[in-house]
Amino acid sequence: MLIKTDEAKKEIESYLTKQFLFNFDGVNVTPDTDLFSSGVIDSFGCVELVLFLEKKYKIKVIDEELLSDSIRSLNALTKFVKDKTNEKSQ
Amino acid sequence: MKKASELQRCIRCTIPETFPNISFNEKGLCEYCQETPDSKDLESERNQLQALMEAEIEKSRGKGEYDCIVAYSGGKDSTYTLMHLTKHYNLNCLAVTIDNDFMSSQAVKNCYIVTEALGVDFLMFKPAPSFMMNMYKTSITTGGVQNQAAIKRVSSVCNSCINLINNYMIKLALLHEAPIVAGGYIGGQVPKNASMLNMNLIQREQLKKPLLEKYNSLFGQGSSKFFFIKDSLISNANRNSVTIINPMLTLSIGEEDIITAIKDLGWIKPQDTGRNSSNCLLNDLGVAIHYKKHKFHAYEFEVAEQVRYGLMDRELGLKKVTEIPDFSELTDQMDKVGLALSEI
Repeated sequence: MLIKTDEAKKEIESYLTKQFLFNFDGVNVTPDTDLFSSGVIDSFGCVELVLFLEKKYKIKVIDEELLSDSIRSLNALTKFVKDKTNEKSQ
Repeated sequence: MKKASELQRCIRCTIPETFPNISFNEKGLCEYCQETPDSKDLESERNQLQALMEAEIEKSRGKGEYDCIVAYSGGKDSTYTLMHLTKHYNLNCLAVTIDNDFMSSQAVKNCYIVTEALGVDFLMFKPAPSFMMNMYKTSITTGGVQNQAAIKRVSSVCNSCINLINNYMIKLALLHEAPIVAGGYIGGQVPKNASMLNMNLIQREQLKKPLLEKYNSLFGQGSSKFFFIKDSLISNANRNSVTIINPMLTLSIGEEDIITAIKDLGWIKPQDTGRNSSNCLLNDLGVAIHYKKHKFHAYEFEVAEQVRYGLMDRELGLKKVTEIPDFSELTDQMDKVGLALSEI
């Protein structure tokens, strides 16, 4: 499954704001904000996020990737999904 | 303000119009119900989760002083969990109860009766009441203690208490070299893939570090021991990860069957814990405050999922989420926490 970065970013942003009840206001929370250390997402939220990523993009998030830098911000998540889906399609 | 019984609710699962970001289709079916697989797929999903959990259990068996630390509240779900792990999986468990200073006396009795009946080691830990009351009051009166998304699943007082409990269980797992920590969470209380997850504790603590100052300022210096794990504890332990399991998420069992099963152990349902708890006297205050602040019952998500998955009768579910406790019946709890109605 090949995905477009802009599309994926929009989808992930929409999921995050709806699921975790916040907005990317450009000041307190930006696409590069670490959503875990800033308290937006907790450990159970991380589990929900993984469930979303695996279901939506048909990818597998391995244990080492849980709580890692690669899924902490909107921009990181978008890259993560893009890389994972590319890996799969190769 | 509409009463809880007057809210528009999903025609299938009971989730109300006031639940954050909820949407219904033209038939009145909520978005969660629209995406719910049929019963055959649900069963297969549960079986897959169970297989993953069981593989982890077998891998972990016999690796520490205990196979598993069980967060045991004395309530029905954690009692069933403890029984299931001990009798069905034959795990060497340490049952651990945090006395949060609001345990029903019957729940305390249940802890002793059940652990004795099951023949498992049992530990009760009681943090200083002065700390707990401050934690409850701060959680209620100060914004930002609770992760914003957590309001969908839990009241503010319960959230702080749960965080404290989870942290303590992980600490004990490290101290006793137990590879598994088990909780009695049921569907809707936690995500369904929380039936089994491996948690890297170094990463967990790194992520939480920026919150340390916040906790110290909210709950007082020294409170970090309740919410964080020191690096030295992790580095001195024989592992830097634990496996969290919630076996109830892999089972298809409703409240009545749970109660019937655990009665054989001598468990007696407390009569003083309100409609939604079987161990805690503070729960109703959390529910009442949650409803006042957020306009939906703190158990909406849990009850809706139980109803949606056929584990709870819809009428019973509606009763559980539409009967909001009245503050006039909660004066004892408010006095004990040191909370005035005007502070809510």
